[in-house]
Amino acid sequence: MALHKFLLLLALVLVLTLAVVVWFVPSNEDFRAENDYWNGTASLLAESGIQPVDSLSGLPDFPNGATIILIPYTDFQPAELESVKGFISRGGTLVLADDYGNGNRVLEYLGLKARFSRQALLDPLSNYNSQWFPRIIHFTDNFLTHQVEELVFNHATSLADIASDEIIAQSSMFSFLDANNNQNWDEGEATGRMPVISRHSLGKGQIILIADASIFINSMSEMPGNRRLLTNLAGISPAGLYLDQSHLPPSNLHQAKNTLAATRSLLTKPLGLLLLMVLAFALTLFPLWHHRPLSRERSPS
Amino acid sequence: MKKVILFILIPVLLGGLLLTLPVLAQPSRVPHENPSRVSATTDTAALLLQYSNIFYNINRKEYNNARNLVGEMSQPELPADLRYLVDQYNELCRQLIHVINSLDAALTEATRLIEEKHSDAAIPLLADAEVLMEDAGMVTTEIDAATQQMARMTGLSADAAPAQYKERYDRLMNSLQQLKRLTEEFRILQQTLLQSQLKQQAELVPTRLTLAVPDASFFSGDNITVTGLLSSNGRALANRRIAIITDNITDNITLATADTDPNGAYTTDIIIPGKWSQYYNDREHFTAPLVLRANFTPVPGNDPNLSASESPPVSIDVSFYPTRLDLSVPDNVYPGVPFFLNGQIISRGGTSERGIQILLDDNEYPIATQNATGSFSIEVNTPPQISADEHYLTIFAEPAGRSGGTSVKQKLLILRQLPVRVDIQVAPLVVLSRPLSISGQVYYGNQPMPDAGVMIQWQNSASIVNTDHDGTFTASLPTSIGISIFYRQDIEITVQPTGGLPLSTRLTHPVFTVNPLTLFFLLVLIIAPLLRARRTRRLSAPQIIPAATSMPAHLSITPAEIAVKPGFAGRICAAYRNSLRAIEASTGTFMSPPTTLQEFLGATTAIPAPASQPFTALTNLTEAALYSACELDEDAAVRAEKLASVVQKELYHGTP
Repeated sequence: MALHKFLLLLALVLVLTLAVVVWFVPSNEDFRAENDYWNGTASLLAESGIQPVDSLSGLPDFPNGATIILIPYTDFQPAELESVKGFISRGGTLVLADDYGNGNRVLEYLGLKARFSRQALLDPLSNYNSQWFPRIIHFTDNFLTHQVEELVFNHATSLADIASDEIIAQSSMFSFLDANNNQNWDEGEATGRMPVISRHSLGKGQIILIADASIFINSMSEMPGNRRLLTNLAGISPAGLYLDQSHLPPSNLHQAKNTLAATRSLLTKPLGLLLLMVLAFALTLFPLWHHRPLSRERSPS
Repeated sequence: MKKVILFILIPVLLGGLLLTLPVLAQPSRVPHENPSRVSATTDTAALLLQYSNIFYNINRKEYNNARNLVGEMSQPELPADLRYLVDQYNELCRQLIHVINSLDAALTEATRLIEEKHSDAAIPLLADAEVLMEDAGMVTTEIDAATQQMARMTGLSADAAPAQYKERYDRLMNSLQQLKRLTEEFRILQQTLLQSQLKQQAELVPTRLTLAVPDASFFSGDNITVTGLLSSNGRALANRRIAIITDNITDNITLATADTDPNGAYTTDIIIPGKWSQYYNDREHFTAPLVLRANFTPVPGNDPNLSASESPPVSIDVSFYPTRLDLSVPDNVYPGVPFFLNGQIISRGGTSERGIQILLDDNEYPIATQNATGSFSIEVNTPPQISADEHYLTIFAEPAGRSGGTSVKQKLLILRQLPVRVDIQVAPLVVLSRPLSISGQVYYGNQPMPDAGVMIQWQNSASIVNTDHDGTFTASLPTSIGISIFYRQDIEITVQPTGGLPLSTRLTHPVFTVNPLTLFFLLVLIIAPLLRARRTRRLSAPQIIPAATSMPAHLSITPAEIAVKPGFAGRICAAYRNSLRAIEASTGTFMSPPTTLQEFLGATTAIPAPASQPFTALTNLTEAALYSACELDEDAAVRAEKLASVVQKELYHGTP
């Protein structure tokens, strides 16, 4: 075999091998629907019937009874924000679950006063093994917290500028906001009950703010209270419960898989399929073509 | 060469895998941890330090906050030995909060009474405060000792304690010191109030107030006249404001006010307030006590020397007829969809108008109110976001006239899914190149639902249509071509009901699709190699068309035998074989194994004459080479090769 043919074949094999490896390697990315490790949402989606969506442009036109969960770790385009606003205004429910991401950008666009404080909410007493896992034990009577006895958050923050009638859940009296990140309460740091879940009306719809996105990951959604909260959430979403995947933390693996998926998608388009067929035809029939030179050898004379 | 290949292959593969590693092992940037990897640790010192928050709230007289904090101290999961200590400490804190709160309340009330010149009424409160102060001192001392003991156990008070703990321990001890100061402040206040009370008693002129009611028992709603006298040391006090109060509920309620006449007498009408009860079939009416009092509070500035006074309590019996509330609630209710609650108020006390309030679950505020007499029908709006579950309504019918008030609890089953049904007609098998046609009919219960919005989503396309007057709809969606040949793909149908109903209904319907393009593609992929294989077999298996006649076995020869003759005979055979290939390729007539050379010559009538004559001569020469006993020389071989060359040239290139 000639060297150039060998190198060509080697490159082809390498590209295909890497593509297969990347395609089949299990996802370990945070909040991803295909990740069934502790930090994914695969089991949650399987149990709660949540549908992952890759774009905010695909939100339902009839959002009444539909809910979208938004975990805003990347920034938003104005068109996306408008899409979300339209979804809520027409009667949809937005669950904005954030701790240190871009949730405030969404709230600002929607014209709400409420904000994510973006400071670590620690609870040295009422917690699940660590003060970074505060137990949430105070609830107002609400559809979302119906039969919820306690929630466990994971590296959460708190909500700010929330009216008392908007509060759905609060942290314990022992919780505090660790403004200087020294993991201890210091004079001047906010302490006491902090709102962590709130509900706000907008147009015909509503917005539910949750000061921790991690309650949706597999390991956290297994906890009874968290699970009940998600069940309640599914209960108010007869027209569909969606989890936005387009604003999750970016990762190389996901980008690589996206590229492969885009290639696959391209090949499923009529033009791509046609090209693929022509290529397959050419490769298949080329030897036949090559072995029949005599059929056209005879001159008409 | 193999070494070169390995030399190139190994680094290239390793490089490729190294490039992949950052993709596969990217660290998480999201701030969260795996909860199963977090080990449980009980920081006893930190636990104790949390009590500074409780003492801080007591010192600020925020007793509810302090109570909540103690309640939350019961929540954490602790080891059994520590749990006991914490429970005991919590109990001490509860006692402290209760004592301090009671002391604070007693002194505050005593202060108010003395300010309003009710010095006599303040006496028992001040006495209670004295007892409470002793309790507070005792509990504070006990907490102080327990705290110091626990601090020693946990090492908080040691010099080697961590700096952040030392700071917070100091804060805890400061809180305890402030508690002691607070108790001392209460002691000073109690003493001050006691002196003020004694001073008022000495300086103020006492007043006396009476209250008289015309009878000892009445019906609720009765309008009665009460009278009384206000005097001071036997002297009538005129133009003083008297309030008739009752305290049979949670707080004092002023039923009426009146001013005294020049004789110190007052007269006013009051309406006997209604009572509440459950309904019992066997009771015609109920009787409940009601305590009335008259109260005189001197106006500051007008009566600087008069003390306040209150009449002795007058207890009367209030009779009322119980009220029965018959209700009819729909079996199923939907969030955000109003429903009518029908009911009837039945009471022997009459059908006078009364207020109806409807509360949902444990909510404080009613979701519907209306005044009603007898039968009523109230539109109730269920909250749009209420959970789909069993709830309950509490319906209050207020007292009216001689009828008592009553309340009834009623179960309410909330369903999330509206009773919307969609009958769909769509072909079960769809060929993808054609658009998908779908039709159907939407029903609400058993009735067709006109003007409902229907969104149909399939693949990446969607169509929104409205139902006709009979609930029917039709739609057509374009199809997109995918890779799969035959697969199931669900149609999603969302129905947005009319009439302001807030819930959408979504359902799916399976459709099987066939993709003819990919099917064709697959068939080509399967058939093309088959064709090629067949072609190859035909090339390697020559045969004569038409079929050769039979011949003697000793004269038959295979093309392979032609090729393997040695010497000049071999050269002649090779020349014949080359000619044979040219003839086979140009005419499509193949030489099969049992065919003789003469038979093949006879079968090749299609070759042109310029090639036919040399091929005949070549055939004869080849027969001689194969079967003749005489030796052939080089001339014969050269001649055969020339003849073959002529045949080939003629067949490949033709006559110029």
